Amino acid sequence: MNILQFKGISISAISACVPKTKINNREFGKLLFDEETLAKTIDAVGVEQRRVTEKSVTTSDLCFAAAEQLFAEQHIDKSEIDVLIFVSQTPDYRLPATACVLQNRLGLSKKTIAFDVNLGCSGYVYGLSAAYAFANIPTVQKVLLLAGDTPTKFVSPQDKSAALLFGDAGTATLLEKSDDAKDTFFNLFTDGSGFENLNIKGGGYRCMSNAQSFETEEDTEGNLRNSEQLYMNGGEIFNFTLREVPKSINELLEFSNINILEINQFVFHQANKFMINFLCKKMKIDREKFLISLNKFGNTSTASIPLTLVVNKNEHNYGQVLMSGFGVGLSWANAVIDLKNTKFLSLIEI
Amino acid sequence: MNKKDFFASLEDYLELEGLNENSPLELSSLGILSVIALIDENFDKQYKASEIKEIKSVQELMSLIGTENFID
Repeated sequence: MNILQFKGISISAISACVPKTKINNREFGKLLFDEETLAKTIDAVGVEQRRVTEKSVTTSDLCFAAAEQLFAEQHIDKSEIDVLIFVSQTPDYRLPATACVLQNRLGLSKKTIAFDVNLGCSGYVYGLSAAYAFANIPTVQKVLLLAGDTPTKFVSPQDKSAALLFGDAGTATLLEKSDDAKDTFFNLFTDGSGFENLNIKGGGYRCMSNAQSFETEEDTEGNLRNSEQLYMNGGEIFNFTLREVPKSINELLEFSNINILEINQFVFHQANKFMINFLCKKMKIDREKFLISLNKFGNTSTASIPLTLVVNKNEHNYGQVLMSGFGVGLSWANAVIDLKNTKFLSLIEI
Repeated sequence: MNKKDFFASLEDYLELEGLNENSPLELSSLGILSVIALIDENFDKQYKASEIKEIKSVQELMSLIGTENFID
């Protein structure tokens, strides 16, 4: 059964951190496109600006800053954190799990259950479902979910299909038991047959790093990348999303017995403007309820859903929120969560 | 779908003008996404991006969707 239902658990706070350095795509894109194509591409992709980490800053640094802000502003007793889940595709090291490094850096107890989840676009919703499952255990008090990515580190700047798209961000989400929480619903899916459509082939143990894996090659579209950089088949990903996501959202709404009109906000993984606008149109979602962050921050992979919630917090009073993450894996997951009592902290920069 | 409406819709999605059955098509990667979106919206069908990429004319696109889906 891929549908989960939780009672008596709520998200008490969400924080997010982005790097200070901004890249303006209208300038950056001049290196890749002629003026007309650049304007058209930015209009379709929807990313005007995005944030990029310096070489020395990692995803865990962004998540650490977001977690420290959350602990300080919410007056959290760190000893009450029983579980730390780090969701990312850009860990600090090949081993150990970044969650172990963060447990120590954040000053959490040695009794903390800490582990990594390697997922991207669907990662936040997947991580959240795992966090809910832990929070559901009677002996667990608080669960900290750190979700982030620095995709600008693995995208070739000479790959026209991806170079303007991605931004870096890290987030922190705190869950705890709450008597007045509404039920939370998840459904989660996987189709590994499409794994090659969004893939970094090199650098793992199937295709280990060597001199050749860093050699730049040109594809049939004129994009330059090496096998340690992201390959994305945008057409197939778009196709997969249209085929699977609306259907899966409808299934979750049906199971949870919630009418789509009762959803106050829709927060989708910020893949690109073309894709999420089309999903919005296909599902007949009210634009006013559809939250966006990719115009200023790009596609921030695992961080996109919580970052979108944080940066839109002043314009909306969140209520029953539908989250949907979809992409790399291929993997997709949805959640219906009541965020009425969740505290959203102000976005921080490092 | 009425052919005239299909041509108009295709022009709208691809930001082109004066399309008819005999028009050649050269689809960019964004054009491929647009055609996938158009077919999904109007015909509730999905095709692989690699299939759409091979399309070289409006006629070929109509054949892929199925000529029975169009009326004059």
